[in-house]
Amino acid sequence: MRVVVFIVVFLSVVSCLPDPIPISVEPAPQKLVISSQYIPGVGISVLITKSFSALENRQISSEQGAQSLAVLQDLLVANAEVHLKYLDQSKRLNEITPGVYMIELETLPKETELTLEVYDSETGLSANAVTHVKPQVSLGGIAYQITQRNEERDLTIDYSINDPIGEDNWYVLNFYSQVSDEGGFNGFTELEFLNSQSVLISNNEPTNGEVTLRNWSRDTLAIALSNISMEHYQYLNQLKKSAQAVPFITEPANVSGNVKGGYGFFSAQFPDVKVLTLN
Amino acid sequence: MARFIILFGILAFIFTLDTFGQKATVKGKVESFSEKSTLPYATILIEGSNRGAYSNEKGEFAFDIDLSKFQDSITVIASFSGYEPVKWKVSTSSPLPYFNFILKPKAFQEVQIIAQKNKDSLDVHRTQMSTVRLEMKDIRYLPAIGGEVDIIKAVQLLPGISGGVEGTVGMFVRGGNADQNLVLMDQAPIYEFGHLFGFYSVFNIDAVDEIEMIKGGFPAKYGGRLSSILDIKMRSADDNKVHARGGIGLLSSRLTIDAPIVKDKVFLTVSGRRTYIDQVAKIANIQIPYYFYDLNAKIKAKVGRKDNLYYTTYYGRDIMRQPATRGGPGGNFGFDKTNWVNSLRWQHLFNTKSSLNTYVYNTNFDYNVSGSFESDGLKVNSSIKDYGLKTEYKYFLNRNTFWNSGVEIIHHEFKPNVINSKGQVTDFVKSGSGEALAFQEAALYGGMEYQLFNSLLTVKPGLRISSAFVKNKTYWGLEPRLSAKYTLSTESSVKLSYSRMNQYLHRVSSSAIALPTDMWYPVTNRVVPQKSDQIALGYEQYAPGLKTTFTLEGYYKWMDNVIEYREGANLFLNNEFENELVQGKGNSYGLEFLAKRKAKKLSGWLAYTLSWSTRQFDELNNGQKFYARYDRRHDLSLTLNYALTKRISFSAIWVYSTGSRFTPQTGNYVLPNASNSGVQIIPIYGGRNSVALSPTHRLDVNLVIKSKPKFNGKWNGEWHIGAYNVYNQAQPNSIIIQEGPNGLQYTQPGLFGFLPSVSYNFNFN
Repeated sequence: MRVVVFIVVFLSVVSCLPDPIPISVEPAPQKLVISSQYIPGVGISVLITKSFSALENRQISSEQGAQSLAVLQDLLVANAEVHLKYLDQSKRLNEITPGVYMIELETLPKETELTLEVYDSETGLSANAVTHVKPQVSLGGIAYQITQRNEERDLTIDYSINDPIGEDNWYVLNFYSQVSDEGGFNGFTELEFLNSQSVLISNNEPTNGEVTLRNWSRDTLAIALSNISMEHYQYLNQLKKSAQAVPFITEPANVSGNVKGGYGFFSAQFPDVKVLTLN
Repeated sequence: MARFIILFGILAFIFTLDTFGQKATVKGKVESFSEKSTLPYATILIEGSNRGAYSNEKGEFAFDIDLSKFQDSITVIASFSGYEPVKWKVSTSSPLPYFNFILKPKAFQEVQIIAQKNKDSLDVHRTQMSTVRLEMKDIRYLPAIGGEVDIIKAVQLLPGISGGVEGTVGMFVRGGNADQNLVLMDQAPIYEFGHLFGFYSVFNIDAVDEIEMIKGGFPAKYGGRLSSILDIKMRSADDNKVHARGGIGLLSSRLTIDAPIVKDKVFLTVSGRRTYIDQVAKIANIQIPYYFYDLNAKIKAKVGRKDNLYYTTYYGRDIMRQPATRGGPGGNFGFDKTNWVNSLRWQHLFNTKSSLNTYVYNTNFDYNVSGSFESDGLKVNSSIKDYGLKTEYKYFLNRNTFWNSGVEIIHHEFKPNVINSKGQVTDFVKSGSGEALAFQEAALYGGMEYQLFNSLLTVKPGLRISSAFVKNKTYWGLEPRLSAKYTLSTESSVKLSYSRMNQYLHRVSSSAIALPTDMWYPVTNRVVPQKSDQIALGYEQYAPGLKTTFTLEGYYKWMDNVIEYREGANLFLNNEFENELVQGKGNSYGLEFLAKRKAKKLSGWLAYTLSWSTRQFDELNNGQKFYARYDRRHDLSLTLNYALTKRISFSAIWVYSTGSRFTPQTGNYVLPNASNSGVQIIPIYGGRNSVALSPTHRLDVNLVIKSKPKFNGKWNGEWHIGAYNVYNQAQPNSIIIQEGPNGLQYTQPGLFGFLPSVSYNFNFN
């Protein structure tokens, strides 16, 4: 038996692992990345960043907190020419901080077409996108229930949407919890976005439902309902799948938005927000 | 281990007791020169005596004679209707040879051609093209990981057949997918034929008799898969002696025994194999909680002069059980994979011209994965059960015409993803029974083979009508087949074939890796059958001086409704995966070259494939055509065996192949989330399968030293001293991103480097 063990050990020792073979992979060409926020009667802001190679050793985590936006610092596209065309007008957006461009806008009629054109002279990159203003749709009744599960609490919310009759609408329902323990609603920057709990509702799904938030420990909950286009719904669906992807288990898929020549999604909707103080 | 060796020795000794005597076995095979097909039911007689036998369906025969009743020599005569009888005289003072009779059709007398000396040219005269037969003696000395030769790995060395990830038994034939190969063990299908995560196949080399790999020009009797049929015939004992053979290797050992149960009537072959790396590691206080074992048995019963019964069974398990650590948290993880196959064959000979073969079989594949941690646990079970019946009638009308027809019925039962969860796992994975699916396949076929123009042209038309009966839907497939061969000379021929195939069940694999848990999924109302049309043209030439047969074949294959997962599909425990399946088109074409030499001193083959394989799906890659994952442009293998002396031989394999393909992540972008309170990183992928991995090559060697025979020459042993991957070249099995000299880079790490092995094989007759 010692002989067998000796042979096994000997062979294990002399066996060796070869060096891995490098593979040459061309990085994806750099493109502009666009995201936007629209507030009726106030204006529209556009964030412009750029994509980067998968082989760049960037330490980016998707952690929560406004500070995490700092990781975007060297991806922000400053000094770009950003134009918005709508209702036969063309206006240049002002850069309020590097990478963030804004313009004041009156409340636009629903389904107004907005065309965004971006050109970055430094890199020569350009992109454009077209979207339509989506009217706000309000949340209907909201009820909640807290249930104790072992040592943890689950928060179950029943919601309904005042879905306009005769229209095809798509929605996204987002949930936020208060980060600080100070009571009351202190604005979005103090909120933690519960991304995994986002609910996407297509035009042929019921407009009322139930969502359970596990291990709930906060006192304040904000619920935001946005009326979005079908393309935006599909885009958010892809984003959600991408966030849940597991290497080797999930098939690779690119997320395709409405930006021609770039990535991201240019949209113009404004959410209806309800804040619940939980007892 | 010592006890194991002693047990082998005792068994070997016991089996010698019955076998010392004056008897000798007349053993051999009868083949047709014109077709290089075997001649079943040929008559073999010892001249001047009443001793003799019919050859079996494979053309083989064996019977005992008492040598003391003969003078210095015996003459064995083989005869068959329409063929010239052949006499073979041998001396009784030396061991009897293997009588390989080659009978010439009477028409062939006009063409003055070879007889015995050029029997190796017979491949040239077979009508069946795109087919390779391997006998165990062709591959027994090949180098292998752990010293145990694997027949699937040997098949992967043939042209047109490429392997998957290094070390696995996956096969990709003529640009097809892994699920497009039908693997038959005595006509019963095997769904999952890998052991040890795919490093070994379920086929124990000592239990296998013959392998036939068909890549195109499919005879009408075969169907159900688009790309290949791997027909494996298990060995059955057929004489009144006890034989034993086996091997002791570093990773596993095996033992096979042939024995008569009822003299001249019932014969048994039984084989067993087990890995013991877990037991060896235990001695060194290392836990490798994995092992596999398998058992094969085959019984042959001569029921009457015209009837034989054969029963084959295979049972194999792979078990991994990582137990809870003592003193640590109470968790464990494991899997258990079981294959159980049974096949019963009734062979009936009506007369020397017609016969009937009927098979009844079932195959049962079961896979369990389980894990638990304290009060939380998850167990997932998947299974496939098949029950089948097939019967085939063969009729030799005359020396120019052969007819066969048959019917086949299979009942399939699939149970994917039966989930049992407990504790907090239920939050993420709910218990559920999965969707049990059952359907039936049926096929009716007929084919014939006839010779024209003084036997220079042989035509083999056939038709198979296949069908699948699923819930609320019936699929039909009309599958014409045609093979033709034109004999240019005694040593060269041109061949042509066309075949259409339908496939009614699919295995869907991730585009990144193939897992044992990959789902076999039948056709449904929405998932329609895969179809293919293939044409092939070939030229074969035998060079007597070189003792080598050269084969050059070109093929083109059109595939419809091939299946893939939708982009972004999540495959983990997804019971709704029918929604994630998409179907599209595939094309593959290529050239294959094979030079196969059979000689006493130097034998082996050189195989080269130049091929392309593409896919097009409306839902994938923006509808653009893309290369299949295992599209390999060049695939070359050189397999040699050189007899240095009577007792020492050296063998080597050198393989080179272009890398397979993958879909790389080439970039990222970052978006703020909806509240601007965090970011989401979005990956950017390149085109589907747009990057070819680096080419790989490897040299394996093996030195076989036969020890001196013992026990009157009845015990023959041989040491195999070999090495896998001699010059330590990475054999990629995955793709990772890691730190390189210039930042991050994609690399292909290999699984094994230089890996020596030693094993001892023995044979007791």
